Amino acid sequence: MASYTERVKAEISRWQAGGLIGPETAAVLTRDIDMRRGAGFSLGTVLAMLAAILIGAAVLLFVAANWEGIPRLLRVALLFGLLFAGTIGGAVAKIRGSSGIGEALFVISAATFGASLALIGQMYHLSGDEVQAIGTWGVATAIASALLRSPALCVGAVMLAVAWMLGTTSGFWNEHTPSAWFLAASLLLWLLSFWVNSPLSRVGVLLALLLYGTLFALVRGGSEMLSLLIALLSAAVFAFSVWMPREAARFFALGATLPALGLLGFYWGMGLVQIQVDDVAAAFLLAIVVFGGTALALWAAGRDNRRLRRLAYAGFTAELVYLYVQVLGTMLDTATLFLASGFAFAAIAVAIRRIERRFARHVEGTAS
Amino acid sequence: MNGRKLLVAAVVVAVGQVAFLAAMIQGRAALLRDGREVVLRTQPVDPRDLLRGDYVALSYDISRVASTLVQSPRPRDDQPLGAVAVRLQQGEALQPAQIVAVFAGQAPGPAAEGQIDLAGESDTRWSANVEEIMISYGLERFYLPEGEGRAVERGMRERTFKMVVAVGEGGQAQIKRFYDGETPIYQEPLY
Repeated sequence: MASYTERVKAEISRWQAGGLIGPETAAVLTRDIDMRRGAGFSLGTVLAMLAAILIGAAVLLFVAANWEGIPRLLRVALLFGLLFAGTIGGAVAKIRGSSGIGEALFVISAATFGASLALIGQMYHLSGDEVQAIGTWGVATAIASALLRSPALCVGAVMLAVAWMLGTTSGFWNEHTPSAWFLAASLLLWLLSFWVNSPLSRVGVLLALLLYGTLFALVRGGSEMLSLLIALLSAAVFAFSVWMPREAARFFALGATLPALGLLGFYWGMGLVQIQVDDVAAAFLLAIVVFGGTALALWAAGRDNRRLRRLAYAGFTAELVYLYVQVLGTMLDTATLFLASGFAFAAIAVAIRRIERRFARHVEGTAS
Repeated sequence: MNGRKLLVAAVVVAVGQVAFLAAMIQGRAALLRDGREVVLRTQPVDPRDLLRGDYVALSYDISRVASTLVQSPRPRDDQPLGAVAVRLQQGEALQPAQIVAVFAGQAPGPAAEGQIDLAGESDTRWSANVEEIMISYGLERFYLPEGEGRAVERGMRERTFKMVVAVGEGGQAQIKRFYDGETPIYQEPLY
């Protein structure tokens, strides 16, 4: 993302060269963009978080090894001590202004809570409720996140919720659909992500919902309608983000990521439908829907959204490859489809060029 | 959030989490201390791969139950049985307990003298021609220090192993002592 600041700086010097802004304004803007970059990324914070993840993993493994060199009651006491130290140390670090270190310490204490649950399971030979234990761990992490207003813990809670949801299906091929409680958990985590200001958690929740729908569709064999529903819901999210940007900013607050996620969900859902369909005519129809959706998405939001453009290219290419490899009986059929789609795209391109030119003239007209 | 509030929140979180964990430990310890004992015969689950991670996967004589032992209320067809209560007749000394009956849901009345109700969970889908149902009790694992599992695993292939289990009021079971024949090999401390 460094390229964003580079690009804005290039724009600033272009404006200055063109006489749109004075050198003073240019200096102020450059300083502002530099400061924002500083706020977004700090090597120290990233390393602290990586260190926290490593230490947390070490604590969990230490418990898993069930080492008898330390009596188990002492192990419990050590974990409780670490839990206290992490939580309170994290708060102190945040109060002193080292937000990154504070969050990292919170992560260690959350890992310690999970390790304590595992240790208790081991001490009393509890079997069969790992899924429940992960759920408990997730709930505790979410509560801690809410009380401490910690975005890192919110991300952790989302990850644990996903692990729990996967646990409730216990594998792809048996008949358990993932627990519907995950939907309620998603809603709570969604609200939590606003409270602690963690857009990353929201992205995680949306991707997790996509995964939930996928598992649901896969477990219920022959469920093209469900997959189609995923695609339609994603398309609705996309439309919402593009045509009601103010509401989208309020309920999602994900900026340019949201339409890209909507498109991703659309491709994902359509892909699921396609792997379940082996009727040539239906595959043809679906491909046209995907191509049409791609064109529509680019038209609606591609101009200002680089991520969306790249995703659209990727989706478009994937669909082509899919058609080429999989569906249409003969090469001649495929060639016909590509030719027809090519003409359709060319026609759309010409139409859009016209609209854009007219639009540009219109803008110039009102500006002058 | 100002500094003092955050500090208070941190204390609340830490104390709350530790209290929750301590209560869990306390509940299990109470079960070990006060629960009634019952002896179960146990065997390894899978003859080739018993040890996954650092526990031995176990099954019991009472893990597979003839469906004729299931008493009313009759479960619904094609639905997993879910929670069951398993009534056991306790054996003399280290004789394993025998199943008297299995109830879907709760047991209809209190167990007789010398009998004990164990809470279990069954995933078996009920139908008229099911002969055997599988029940799990939350006792299906025995954790060992890293590396010690293999010896137990070898022993279990050759000899009879038994488990003494503590059972609480609600039928909740907790592993207490592990026997190789008549010799206790692991005895669980309260904490």
